[in-house]
Parts: sequence; structure tokens; C-alpha cells
Amino acid sequence: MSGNGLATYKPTVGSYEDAVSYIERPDFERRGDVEVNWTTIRIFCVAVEDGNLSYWDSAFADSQWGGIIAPPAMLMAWVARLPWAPDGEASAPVPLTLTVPLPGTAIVNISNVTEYFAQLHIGDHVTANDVIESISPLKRTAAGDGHFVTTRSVYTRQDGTVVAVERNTLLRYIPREALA
Amino acid sequence: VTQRDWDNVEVGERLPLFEDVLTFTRVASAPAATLDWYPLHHDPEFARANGQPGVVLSTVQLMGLVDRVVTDWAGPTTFVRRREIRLLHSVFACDVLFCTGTVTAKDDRDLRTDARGWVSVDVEVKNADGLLCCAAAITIEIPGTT
Repeated sequence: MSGNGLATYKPTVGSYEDAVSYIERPDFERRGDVEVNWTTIRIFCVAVEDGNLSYWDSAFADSQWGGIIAPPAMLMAWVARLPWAPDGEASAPVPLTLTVPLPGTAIVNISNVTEYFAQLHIGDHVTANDVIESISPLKRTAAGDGHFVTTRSVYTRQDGTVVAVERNTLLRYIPREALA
Repeated sequence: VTQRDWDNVEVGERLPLFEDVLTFTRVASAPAATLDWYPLHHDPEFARANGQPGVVLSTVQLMGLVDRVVTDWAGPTTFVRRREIRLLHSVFACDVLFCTGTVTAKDDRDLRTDARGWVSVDVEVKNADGLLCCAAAITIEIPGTT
């Protein structure tokens, strides 16, 4: 049994015409449960086997960056919610691309473009603001027919500095076997 | 500390081949760090029920892997400015990956003001069957003196 709150990952089903009204609808905000911290940075470095001194050596990082910095790929970690809470209210929000009504019940990530403008240091708090930037018409793909959904996320530090802008495209599709 | 200097980087230069063994410990460490608990990235039973042969790596872990290929080569004074990644074939826990990189461009826009120059690198990640799993284009900023 995969007791993982799978309902969280169930896409809203609807038509492309319904979905288009979600484009540039503002302010889906994500705030994390953990601030930028060294322990989480090091666990990520274990996953990647990244020995970069900027993440491991405070003397080097102090002289180069003014302190330990976070690997750029970790952006999402700083706006993520814990999957459990003492009051039982695990509050991880449904990802924006799953709330858009589309025929596709399955998702697969296609591409991601992220531009970085500032480094994140231990103790920083990050907020993400997401909008749906575009939704393609129905396309035929090897996985099945679906729509490509591009989300734009602006990541802002507690002092108002925009640290990164991310564009992620995923495919919301109807699996081929479901049609058979 | 080995740090590449912008002046000595050549367009067309190839990065050292990087071979990567994705143990379960490493694959499980990624959700622990990123809190991306989508079960596809840690639960083999869920992955198989969704038509996958095993646990599928998250995009964030792949982004970390391609960044490391470039920053290991360039050195720790590197600032990753832009990363584009295209996901072409799923990467699974226990896969062995072969990562290659090639310098595609240099840009001196900040060299006179900041003594830092920009370098663009293409990275390709293939699995043991030779399938191209992801392709990335990464632009970094490193020290330069010209």
C-alpha cells in the first residue's frame, strides 16, 4: 500500500476551453516549511554526489560568497511543504499544473529553463509565485494525446530580491493504454 | 582549489566524461532534501503500477547532476546563471549514467566591470543502453582577467 496522500497528485479533468482561462491567472503562491539550511543542502549533495566547496567548506564559501550557498537546483526545496504535520493537516498544495482542467490524467515532465540572478544563503526564506504561461492545443505524442502546459515561477528572497525565474513545461496526457 | 579561468576556456573544449551510479541511497536522498514526495520518485510499487520499471528520478535531481558535471569541471567559484534541461527518456534508480559536456560559447559582457566572464556548456546524459536521457544547456559565470 502506497500511503502517500496520492489524491494530492490527481489532476483536475476538464476541457482545453476551460483550461485556457487559467493562462496568466495570477498569484498561486508557494512558501516553504524549511528555510535555506546547511543540513538539507548536504543531503541534496549526497543525492547528487556534489563535493563543491561552496556547499561544504564554510571558510571557502565565506571568502567567495559571504557564506555557504545552496545548489541552484534546490530552489523547489525552499518552497516545499512537509508531508505531515502534528495536527494531521499535511498542507502540501496541489501543484498548479494539476489544478488546470484538461483531459489528460497523466503527467510527464518535458523541459525546464531556469535563470538565476542571486545566490541563496543559509537562513534565507524564499517565496514562489506561479502562473500558467501557455497551454498548447491537443498534440499527439508517443505517450498519448495531450496538452503541453508551461508554468512560469518567480522566486523571491525575503528582502524582495528576485533570485530566479523558472519556466517548466510538462505534458498532461491520456495514456495510450487507457484508450485501447 | 581548482578553478577554471574564463580566458583559458576554449569553445569546443570537451569536459571529462562523468560516470554516475545511481544507488538507492542517492535516489532516496533527493526527496528527503527537496520534499518532492511524488511517489514515482521513491516508491517502486507505485512506479510499477504506473507502467514504469522502477523508481524514476525527479527533474530536480537531474538538474543537480548536470550542474555538478559543469561545476566540477569549472570549479567552486562558478555561478550557474541559466540552465535549460530537456527530459527525453526516464532515468531510473540503479541506472548507470554517462555524462558528457562541450563548451559551446563564451561571452565577455561582464569581464571589464566584474572580471567575470560567461561560458555556455551543452551536457548530454546517456544511460547504459546509450539512450539520450536528458540534454542540458548551462550558462555559467566564472572569473576572468582579460
